[in-house]
Amino acid sequence: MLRVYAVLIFAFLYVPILTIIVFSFGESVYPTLPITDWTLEWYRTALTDSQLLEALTKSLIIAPLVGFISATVGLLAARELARREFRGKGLVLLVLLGPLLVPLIVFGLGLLLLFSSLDVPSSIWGAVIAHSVFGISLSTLILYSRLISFRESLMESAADLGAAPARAFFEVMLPLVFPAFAAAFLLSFTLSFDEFIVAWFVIGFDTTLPVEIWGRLRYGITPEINAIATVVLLVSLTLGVLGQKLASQRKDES
Amino acid sequence: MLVFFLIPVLILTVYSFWSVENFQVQRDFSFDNYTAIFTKPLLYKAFLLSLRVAFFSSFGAVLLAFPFAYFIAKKVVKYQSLALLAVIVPFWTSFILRAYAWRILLGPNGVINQGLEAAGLIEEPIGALLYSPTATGIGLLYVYLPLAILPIYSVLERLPDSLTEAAADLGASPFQVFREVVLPLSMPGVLVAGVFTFVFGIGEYVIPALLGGGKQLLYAEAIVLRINAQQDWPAAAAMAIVLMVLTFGMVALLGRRVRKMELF
Amino acid sequence: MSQERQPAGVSLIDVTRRFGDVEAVKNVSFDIEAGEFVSLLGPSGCGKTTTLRMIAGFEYPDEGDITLDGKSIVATPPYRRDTSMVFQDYALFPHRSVAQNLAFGLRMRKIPKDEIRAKIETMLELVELPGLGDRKPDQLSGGQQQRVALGRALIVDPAVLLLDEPLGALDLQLRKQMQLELKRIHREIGITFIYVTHDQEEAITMSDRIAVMNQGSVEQIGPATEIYARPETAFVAEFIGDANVLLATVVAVGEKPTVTFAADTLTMEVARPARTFSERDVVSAVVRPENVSIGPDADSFDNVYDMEVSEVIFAGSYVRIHGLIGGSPLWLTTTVSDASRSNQVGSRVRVGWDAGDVVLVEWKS
Repeated sequence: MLRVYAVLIFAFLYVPILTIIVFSFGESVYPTLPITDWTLEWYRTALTDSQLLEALTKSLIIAPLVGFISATVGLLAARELARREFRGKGLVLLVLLGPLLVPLIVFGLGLLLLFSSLDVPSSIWGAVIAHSVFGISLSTLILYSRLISFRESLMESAADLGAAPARAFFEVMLPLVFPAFAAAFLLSFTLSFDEFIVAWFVIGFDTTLPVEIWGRLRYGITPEINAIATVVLLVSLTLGVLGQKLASQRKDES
Repeated sequence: MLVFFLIPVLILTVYSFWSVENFQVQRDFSFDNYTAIFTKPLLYKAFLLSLRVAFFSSFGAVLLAFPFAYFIAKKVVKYQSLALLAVIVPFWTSFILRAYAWRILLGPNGVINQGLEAAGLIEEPIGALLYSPTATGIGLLYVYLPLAILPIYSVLERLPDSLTEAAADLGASPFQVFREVVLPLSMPGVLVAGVFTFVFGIGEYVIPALLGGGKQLLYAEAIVLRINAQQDWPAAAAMAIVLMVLTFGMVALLGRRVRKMELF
Repeated sequence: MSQERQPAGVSLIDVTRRFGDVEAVKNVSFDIEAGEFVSLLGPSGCGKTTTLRMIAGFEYPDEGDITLDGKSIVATPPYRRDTSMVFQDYALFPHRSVAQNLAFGLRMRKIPKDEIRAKIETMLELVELPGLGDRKPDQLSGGQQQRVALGRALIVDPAVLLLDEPLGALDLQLRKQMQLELKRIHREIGITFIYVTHDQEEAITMSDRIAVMNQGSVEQIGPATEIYARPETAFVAEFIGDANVLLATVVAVGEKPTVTFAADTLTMEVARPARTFSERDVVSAVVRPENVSIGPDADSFDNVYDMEVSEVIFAGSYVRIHGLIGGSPLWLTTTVSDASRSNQVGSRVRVGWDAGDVVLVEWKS
């Protein structure tokens, strides 16, 4: 009974995603069943569409930047949080949770008003900053939960054996927390790559891929969307799987 | 970090007390934007509809999630982490696209209607499937289901089997075991699941915009409308502040009841 | 090992370390000679580990100074100190093999590669792990990990080796074996060892001198025999070995010092105390259980009493007998054959001990 139910839930989770992928190979402009003819036409259309490609490029510039900024800042912040005990630490962790809880539309609007009142020209930097706020929150929490079980004696023993702090960091800490660091990078990357609302608010005339896709969806069904969507889904699926696997990797390594 | 998170919130607050005349922001001070939310029919209807849709979708998500989380936590042994991974991963895929998928599924010529027709269950496609608050509700339920499963899983996974065994040993029927032991002890997870899916649901824009059809506006849509159609930043800001206070208020209430929140 | 490094003496001068309002280490001063094996012994929370960590450089003293070979090292960061530490949890780098763990300190010192390789081989021999260089730490047993940790600390030729309860995680048998081995290694390489432990037997077995610490202070420092025979405080008496600590009042000083005890109902002659007491001082009289004789022989001692036996406990190689003398509890240990002769619970027996076996210390409040 429960087993059948579980299978149904998995189907519920994955059928919509599969639907898009299946229809991206269907010849008909409208996504209707049964699919009579199969084609790669929509992939060709999508991959020669300069507007789509430009949006994709922007996303591919923003996302790695966000991933790197988030994971790096997150690592430094998490190290301090995990190492020190201080009053108000719970509050800091709560504030970190804030960006992940605040409705995106609230945050997007606030950031837009901030940028416009500072006369910051809208650009991809707006999106980088905005996404990094989420990414840093997420990365700090991921890395914090890893570092909290990190044995300080490892760093002490590195120092004891003659490694200066920077050396000890690169030789001992980084290799040991690397899976969590990579997870933070990948998940922040994915977050940025898929995020729409905030990007939509702050980015102005430049468009990221989600913003571009959004624009096209508003005009009705355009089959090349299925093709580009399949590509996007596969990218985020892969990164999501990798990131999540790394994040949940057993912590008994150190 | 704090600068880019807290300052936008502060600016929103400041804006929310200003007003707009002839598309020009006036830097005065009034509560008009706030009173409007609860007096203008368009706004409070959108607010109430959002509450209702979010409530039903989060209720549905928790209901669907519980047996599933129970199954993963207690019955799956070998592939538990894999099953968990499979639950989380859709959460990391594009939000827009997951919503869009439901447009394909629910549309008048969509997969579901065609399936039902082919099976001879209906003569005409059900138009109301798409572009209705119901469609929005289904979409919300779908995208936030993983978020409902995880916290429930994490409490059930830590629930020692010896407790249910002890209850059964003392003469409780399976149903009584569930009602007397499993449910009360998994309440923190259920509350986390419910509150989170609910607050995310209220503030959701993409899903109603793609699936709701625009005839009955939801709250987030009303905010965007304020900006796009009327350039009324202050009103939008006030609406956003209300949304945020509601969100944080509920999470704070939750935090008081549930000490340890484990999302990841 | 080569004698490239001369062993160095370590001195603490009025060292104090506070954590918030708590004084973890209070005005601690002692000198450790070059090449000595000194244990810091005390219950958990007595400040022994903090003291060690200050010598290593992981903690700094709020007051006072620490010198290595006469030069202050307080301002020197741990990675430039000539000390090496063996950590309680070993702190082996889990992502590195045994050989790489051993090589770590040498790499930091920019030793040439082939020299490192040679040193690793020598070290693996010294700690009796030949051929295990390629293993990862988690593929080793607890005892083996312990040896790697020791080797990793020794390979850099430190002037002082610091050991923080290094045997705490091992089972009893392994612990005894490692104690002997540490002793052997200390003899072979001759550098200064400072060893933190809460296990009195460990400290007694291995050290040249023991510093007994309690509540952040050093109560007594000296060779094990001296600390055992002449404890200076009731705490030391009870912490090192077993002791009857009797509440007593001084009634005579001079050639034949005498005290009363058991609510002033009994008197006993005592050895001349190390410090001066006056008449009517309230003191602790320390009597070791193994110095108490039981049965007819007891009559030949300076202090002889009647004891009512309340408990007889067989403890393997000896028997513990508890009882009351003049209403005051006393216990003693005796051989199995002696014990079988007399003593049933409830019987009255003669017990006795020499004046020279009684040490007077300040009354523990």
